[in-house]
Amino acid sequence: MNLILQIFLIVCVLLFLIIIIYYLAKKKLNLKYSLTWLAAGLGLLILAIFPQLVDMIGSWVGIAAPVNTVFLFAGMFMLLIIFTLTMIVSHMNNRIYRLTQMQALLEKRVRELEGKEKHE
Amino acid sequence: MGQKMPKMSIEVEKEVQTMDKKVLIIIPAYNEAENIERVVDNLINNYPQYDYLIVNDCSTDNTEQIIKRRGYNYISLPANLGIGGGVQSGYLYAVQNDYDVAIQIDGDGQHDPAYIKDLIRPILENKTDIAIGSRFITKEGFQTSFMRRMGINIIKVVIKMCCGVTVTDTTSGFRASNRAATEYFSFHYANDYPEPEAIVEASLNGFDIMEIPVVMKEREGGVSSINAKRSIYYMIKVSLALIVCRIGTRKKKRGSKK
Repeated sequence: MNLILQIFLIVCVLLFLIIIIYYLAKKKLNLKYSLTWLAAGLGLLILAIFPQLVDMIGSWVGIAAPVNTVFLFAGMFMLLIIFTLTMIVSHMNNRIYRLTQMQALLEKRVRELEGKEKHE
Repeated sequence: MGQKMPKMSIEVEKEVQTMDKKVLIIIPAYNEAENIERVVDNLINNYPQYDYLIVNDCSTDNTEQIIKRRGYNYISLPANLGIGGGVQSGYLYAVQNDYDVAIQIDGDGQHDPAYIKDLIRPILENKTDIAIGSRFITKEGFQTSFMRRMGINIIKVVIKMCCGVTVTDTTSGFRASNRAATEYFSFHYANDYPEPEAIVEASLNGFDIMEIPVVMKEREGGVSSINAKRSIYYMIKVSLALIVCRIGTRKKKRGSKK
């Protein structure tokens, strides 16, 4: 791999990591949900520094062109991220349900207490 | 009503025992402006021994204005949760307010409250945890369309395979539960099309289920939540949910009623 491409890739990955850490520090990202992203960033960084790893993995699993190894792993990573997101959405869905129900029950209590106060 | 009169004298004794038990009727209502007044007025006038709670599931018609104006006992969900989330709020309310029995009836007038005492009796006699009203035991009254019956029967087979319980009216939303089952439902209740799933989940978690013959009426106004296009989705979703539920739950044995 040519050196300029390698440097370009490393800079990109570093930028990606910096952006994640920046938003983590500003508390706009939850650490819990950004762990997958951080892990992926680190993985990418290692691959960018040691590109021969891609060839090695490719020959292990029997992929002829190293580019395809990269694409394969990119695809798998995306699936992982999307799946994690679906899990998070499901979890949030459950919590929103409970929140909605509790709000409705509390609203009823407030309504009744206010009604009582008016009568007194 | 006529043929029920001779039984009255026996019923009176039984009713005395049920008086000191707190019974809550949960009425989920989504766009039931046409029916809700008739259903609730019937309950208030003829069955004052039971408490009731309307769960207005963020209706888009004037259901909320009606129940507010009439001064009914209701909660109003700030977002539409569907029948499962709505009924579950009712179960939560029952738990919070210490009810002995929680009964769910449809807000469209299909379920005759006259049968509520039949549903409650086996629960108060400690014969079962959950009682489901079934229109297919005596086969009287509104029997629904052929397609619907077929769907109900397929679900019946799936439920039988999943947990070995035979329930004939698997989608019946006319059901009563004792305190333990109510508490369980307040934590675990499926979101959409919850009726069959609730049977499997409750059964796998060791609750006894019993079916009680009831006569149902055809809904008198408004539209049912299930139409032809949705019914295919319904069948797939419910069957899948039941199987997943079976895989995910180990059969538990609670203190059996027998």
